[in-house]
This record gives sequence, structure tokens and C-alpha cells, in this order.
Amino acid sequence: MIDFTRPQRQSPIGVIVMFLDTAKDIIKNLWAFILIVFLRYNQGNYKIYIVGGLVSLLVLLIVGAYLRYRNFTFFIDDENEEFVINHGTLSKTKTAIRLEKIQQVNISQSLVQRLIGVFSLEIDTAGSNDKEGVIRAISHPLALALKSRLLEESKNISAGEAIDQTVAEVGKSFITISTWSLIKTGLTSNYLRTVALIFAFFFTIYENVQGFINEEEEQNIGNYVNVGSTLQTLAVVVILGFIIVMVVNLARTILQYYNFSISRQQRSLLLKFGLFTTKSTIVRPSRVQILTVVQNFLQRKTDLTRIRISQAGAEHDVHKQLLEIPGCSKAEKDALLNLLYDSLPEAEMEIRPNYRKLIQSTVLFLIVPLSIIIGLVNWISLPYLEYVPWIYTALVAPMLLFSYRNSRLFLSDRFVMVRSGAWDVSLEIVETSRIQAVEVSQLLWHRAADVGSLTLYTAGGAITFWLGNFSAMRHYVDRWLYKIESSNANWM
Amino acid sequence: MFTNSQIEDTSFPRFEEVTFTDLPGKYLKVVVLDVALILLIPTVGLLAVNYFVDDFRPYFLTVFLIWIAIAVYAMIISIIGFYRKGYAFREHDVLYRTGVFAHIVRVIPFNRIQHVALHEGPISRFFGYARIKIYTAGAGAGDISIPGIPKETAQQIKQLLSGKIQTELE
Repeated sequence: MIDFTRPQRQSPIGVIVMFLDTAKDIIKNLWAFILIVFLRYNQGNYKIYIVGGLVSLLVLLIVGAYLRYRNFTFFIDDENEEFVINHGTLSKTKTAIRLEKIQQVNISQSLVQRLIGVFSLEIDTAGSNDKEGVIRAISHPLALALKSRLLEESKNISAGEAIDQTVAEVGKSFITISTWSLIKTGLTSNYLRTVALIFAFFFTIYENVQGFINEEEEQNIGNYVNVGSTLQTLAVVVILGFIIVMVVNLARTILQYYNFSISRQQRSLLLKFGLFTTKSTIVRPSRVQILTVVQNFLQRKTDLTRIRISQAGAEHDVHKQLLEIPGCSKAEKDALLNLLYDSLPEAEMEIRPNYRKLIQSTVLFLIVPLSIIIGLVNWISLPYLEYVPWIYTALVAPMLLFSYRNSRLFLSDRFVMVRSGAWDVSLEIVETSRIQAVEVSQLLWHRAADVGSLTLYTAGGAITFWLGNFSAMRHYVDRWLYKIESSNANWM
Repeated sequence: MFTNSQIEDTSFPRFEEVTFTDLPGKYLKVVVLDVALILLIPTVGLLAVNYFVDDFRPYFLTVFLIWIAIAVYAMIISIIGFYRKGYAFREHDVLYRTGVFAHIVRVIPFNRIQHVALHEGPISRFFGYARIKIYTAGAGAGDISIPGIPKETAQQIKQLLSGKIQTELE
């Protein structure tokens, strides 16, 4: 038995991890700069400076990594019931985490960590943000022992679960996502996010190159652009862009979610995924606040469902609490829902949005932007610009129509579900016992029409349905409040 | 599976039948003063620019009139907003009504309250009013903040809510 009440250090070999972590941080922030320095390597008399700079940087990194290792200690303070981490080279930091606040402890391994045989241990607390409790290099037996100690002490977890988590590190997985499913997911989802990512990538390069290229070169680039400014090049660019988006999307999905498996551990789910960095995390059904089932047209045709799970957590850090299951079949989705809710969520009542919703969204997203765009186009008056209003209308109008058609509110005593979206159609599911606060709202001139909106706040975010049958919503609000207030049902 | 059977069930307590307590009428002056103070800063700024920058003078009247229109609008909205605000306590939850163009009601069950705080702005402290903030574990904006409660009443409400949280937990 390891005595965790005395300060412990990480595995000595972890110095390598510290070193690479720091190096990674530097490269992440300065990669474009470094790239350009290397491209310029042969030009001018910089060589000596570059080599000298690199060597001193390396020495600094090694010393820094060693000091980071030396100064990092952790122990359990039995007296105050806290887990304490001391770290910092120049400025010392002492982080104390109340044991009762610990929600979950994740053990994971990146590629580097796998090569040298150490693990990461992350402590997840409710109410506070950031990775305040992270140990970067720890051996597997030590990690397991510490995890069981921490969870044992944590009052939030029943004894059974705590033991279960450590003993059954390897449970039998009941959902395994095949690489083929991942390929399908990669090809059919997250286009916008990828476009934004690629845009950010090129913007970073452009910004850094800007500083280096002198005016002469800039003119050359100008000429290249001028030569091919025809519609043909535009088409090529669009197609090329599309292919790049697809490839990047595919690579990203596979990298992130390779070998995704979900296994059961008594009452919790253990998720494991990742190609180079294997992440593992535990989902406790009691912490699930909003579950979102997402599917677009292509995915519906190929029986592919994405599931997002939002858990109770710090409000500044909703993203960390958001888990995504990239692609499963309908049967697997149902199995997961059954496990989390003991039954498939069903609705007693289905509410369609009022036609006023279509009018409202048309005014907000079509008429107002169009008048601004047309005004701008007339003012600037450049060739081809007169097509912009048409393109905008052609893109936005069908989206508005589809999202109106898809919009739905499902009500029952136990579940509220909101369906929304034009291309990616998502169904947000909230168990009514998770409700923290309810808000109903009705525009004054909608009173006669009995149309209003409903928002439910949970510890994992809010869901809203706009402009539907107001009496029905209010009736169900009464029922949910009755249920919450009379039964003292726990939300976590 | 569209169903639309008539709802005959009226056995549940109905939250829309609650009688809301309006904010005390005397609190209106605090609202007006608060807004006036906020609006005063840009007004002074505009006048200063007009005084020091010669090039601005030809546009001053237009800009100033637009600003006055915005200010009057903001003031009217705040005053209407004041009259629309109201709160109510039931045995098991707290309700807060608000909204200028909409009728908005937010409900927080007592057993979802994390903590209650009293807040006093400089002007409202001078006149003896406090704001009660009721926090839940909701991510984002699921909290209630009731302004314009006389200090003693606010203390009592806080005591009441703290007591409720205690009893609900037991």
C-alpha cells in the first residue's frame, strides 16, 4: 500500500513528458514563426543566430522540465480532507481540492506517455473550472491506487461504484464504433467547424508571412492572383476547397475517435477513444443533463447517429463537460438510451411551432440581412457582387423552411425533447428531474393566439422551444414543478 | 404519433394563477436615477467633444438629437420594465415576472436553489433597497435577481429561503 498522505513525486522518466509538453506549447504558439525561420534559413546570415537560439532553447527546456519534475508533488491531506498538489518553478502554486468535491478521476495516455510507459491522471471537480488537478506522469499501479483512494474518500460516490471503477478498469464493451462508421461520420459531419479550422490555419500563416514578405514579393503574388481571376478558377477553388474540407474532416474524426468503445461498469459508462492519444472518461448516468441525438440527411440514409452528452459542470467550461459519441447505429443508440434512462424517452404530446415562427425567422434572417446586403452591394458596386443577394437567399431560404419543418417539442412527465435544425437535425433530451429553473415567455401580442416559448435550465446548459402552444407548455410546467417539488428528485 | 387529446387535468397547482407582488412604487425613483446616471456619462462626453473638437460642431445637433432619442427610449423602457416586474413565493418555489414586450415568468423550485445573495447598488443602498439574487446550479442564466426589495424585507426573504433550502435538504 502506497502512503499517499506523504508528498509523492511523479515518475522520474516523466521528465521527458514535461520536456515534450513545454516544447509542444512553444511549437503550438509559434509554429508559423518557426516554419518561416526555417524557410529563411539559407537566406542571409541568420544561420549562426538560429542554431545558437535553438541550442539555448533546448538547454532551457531541459532544465525547465527537470525543475518542473522536482517541484511537482502531490499528497492527500487526511486532516483537511483535501488532495494537495504543489507545483511551479519560479512561482509556487498550491492547489487543494476538497475530496468531497471530486466528481471523477480520469486516467489517460498519450502517444509519448505510451512509449515511456506512464499515464496522466486528471481530477474532475464540480463547480470549479480548468484542469486544476492534473498529474502528467504516473505509473499505472500508482494511478489506479490513487484513483481508488480519491474516489473512496469522495462522498459523492457510493462505495460500490468506487470499487467498481478501479476493479473493472477493463469492462466488456457493448458499443464499439468501427473505423468504417468513423469514415462515414468524417465524410458527413462538421463541415462548418472544419471550414473554420482551415480558415484559421491559413489566416495564421498569412498573418505571419505578412511580416516577412517585402513589398516586391507581394506584387508578384498580386500578379498571380490577377492572371486567374475568372469564374473557372473560382470553380476549381471551390471544388478543391471541398476536397480539402472532406480530407481534413476525415483525418480529424479518425485521429480523435479511433477505436471508440463504450463499456458498462455497473451503473457507469466507460468511454475510450483516440488514435495517438487514448482518452478514457467515465459517464455516470446521474450526471447526464442534456443528451443530444444528431443526424443529417446523409446519416439518416446510412443509419448513423451522433450523440452528444452534456454533463453537470462548471459554467465556464461547458465544453469540457461535452462528450461526443461520433457514430453509432440506431440499435446502439437505443441501447445507450436504455442504459442511461432505463427506458427509451417517450412523449405524450407533440407540439409543432406556430406559423408565426416561420414569419419571425424570415424577417430576422432573410429580410433584414437582405436589405443590408442589397444596400451594401449598391454602395460598393463591384462586378459579380450583384449575385450576392441571390446566393444568400438561395442558401438561407431553404434552411429556414427546413428548420421550421423540423422544429418540434415533445412533452411528457419524465422527458422534454426539442428537435431543431435544418441540415443537422438534433433532438435534445432532458429528463425533467434535471430542471434547475423554468422560464415561460409570451410576447404581449401573442396572448390571443395562445403562442409562447419555453426554456428549461439544467446544470449542463439550457434548451428552448420557440412559439408553440402556450397552454400545453404551461400545463406541463405545472406538472414538472409538482414532480420536482413533491419528490425531491435529485438532479445529480 | 401525433396526439392532441384535451387536457382536463386541473389537479396540479397552476403557476399562472399566482398573484405577483409588484416592486414598491417608491423604488421607481431609484430605477430612474440609476438609468439617468448611466445615460449622463455619454451625454457629458458628447458635450465635451462638442466643446473641444471644432470639426465636430456641424454634426453635433444631429448626433445629439439621435442620442437624446435613444436616451428617452431607454428611460421609457426601464420605467415600463419597472412596472412589469413582480415576484411571488409559493410553498415550494419562487416566481419572478419580467419583460417589456413579452410576459416572462421564471420559476425556481426551492430544492434547486444553491444559495441566495443580497446585493446593494450605491443608489439603492442610499434609499434602503436591496436586490435578492437566487442562484441555481444551472449553467448560464438560470438564476433570478429581484431588485427593489426594502432592506429588512430582503433580509427576511433571505432567511426564509435559507430556511427553505435547509428543510428541503432534510
